[in-house]
Amino acid sequence: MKKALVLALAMVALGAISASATTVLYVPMNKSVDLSEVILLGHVLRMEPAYNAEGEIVTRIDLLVEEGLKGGVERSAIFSFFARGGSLDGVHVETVGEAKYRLGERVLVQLESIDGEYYTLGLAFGKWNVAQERDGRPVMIRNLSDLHMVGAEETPVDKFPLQRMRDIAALRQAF
Amino acid sequence: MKKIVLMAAVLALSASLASAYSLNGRKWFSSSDATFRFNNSNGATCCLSASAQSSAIQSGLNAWAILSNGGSTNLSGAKRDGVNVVSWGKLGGTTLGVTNYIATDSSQSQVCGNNLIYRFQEVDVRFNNAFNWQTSSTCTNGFDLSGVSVHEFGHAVGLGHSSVPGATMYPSVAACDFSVSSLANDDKAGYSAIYSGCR
Repeated sequence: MKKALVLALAMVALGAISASATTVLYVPMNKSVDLSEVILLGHVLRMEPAYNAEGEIVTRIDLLVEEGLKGGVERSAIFSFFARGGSLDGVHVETVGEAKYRLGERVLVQLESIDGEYYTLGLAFGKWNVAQERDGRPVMIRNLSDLHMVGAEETPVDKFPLQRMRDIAALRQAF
Repeated sequence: MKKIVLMAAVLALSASLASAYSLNGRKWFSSSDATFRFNNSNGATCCLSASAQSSAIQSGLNAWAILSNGGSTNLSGAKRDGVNVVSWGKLGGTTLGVTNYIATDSSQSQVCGNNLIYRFQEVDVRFNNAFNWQTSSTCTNGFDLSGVSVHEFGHAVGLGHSSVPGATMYPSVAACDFSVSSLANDDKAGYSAIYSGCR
């Protein structure tokens, strides 16, 4: 009986907290690499709320760079970019569809510059968590469930080998 | 006893799966709170006149009964200013529109069906002015401003995504697809689940 109660409570909680979406253009991997000015693999070192140039609440993410795949950022550099939303001065803003970060997590981020500040390309679309397959190969996984995607001509990719991303980034910059 | 528990769990699960829409746990408690003001400055430079942009967004708002247009404003962006604002801005190369939940009052809630739903206090919606927005079937590589508006405002009334292809709240749509600017039965059922029979 306890299990059923826990299941029921979990279902109710899930219904209450599931988020909604922001609309982004779905682009295949090659194109997304082209649109990303900077692509980095690293660990989330710090997160701090701030105001952006327009006075909106954002969260500054400091990434300890493990590998720069695009954009000329060196290993061990600390690179800052922004996520929309956050809590500051008693105000909490949630930008639905934005990527969520945790301190210490290993991520690959595809970044674009908007008015001189870096954001992930297409909010959660440009943030990948890095994990390992059973055979030990690193794989990137992203959560697209909160995004409304326009123009998808293929099944949206939410899992991709890290090595293939490295290969694409190297190849697209070579031309 | 185990069989009864199992059956109850299966019934609960099938009931939840029968509804293809999803709820995001928030709603407007009053239509007077759900008034959006438009800031038409900095609109898209390509393809639609300012008035066409405004009327396309208005049609998105009109799809949801509780929402209304409260006139114009100079406010913009995602800021806590006490006004629900629809505005234009730079959102990058792939983001067409963003819905921002600026404030939710979690001390006020209603139970609608089996869902606990909190009170929206402020929501801002922003569209990207760098995109090729369109409103007609003569579209080429463009995006339906009315359809995206209906979808974004669907989130602004408290709906999540639907698993029913063709529903406005389905999570993907093709370029130049103008079919989602009117609500499907599943969208209407989702709206009704939030705004009817709550206690």
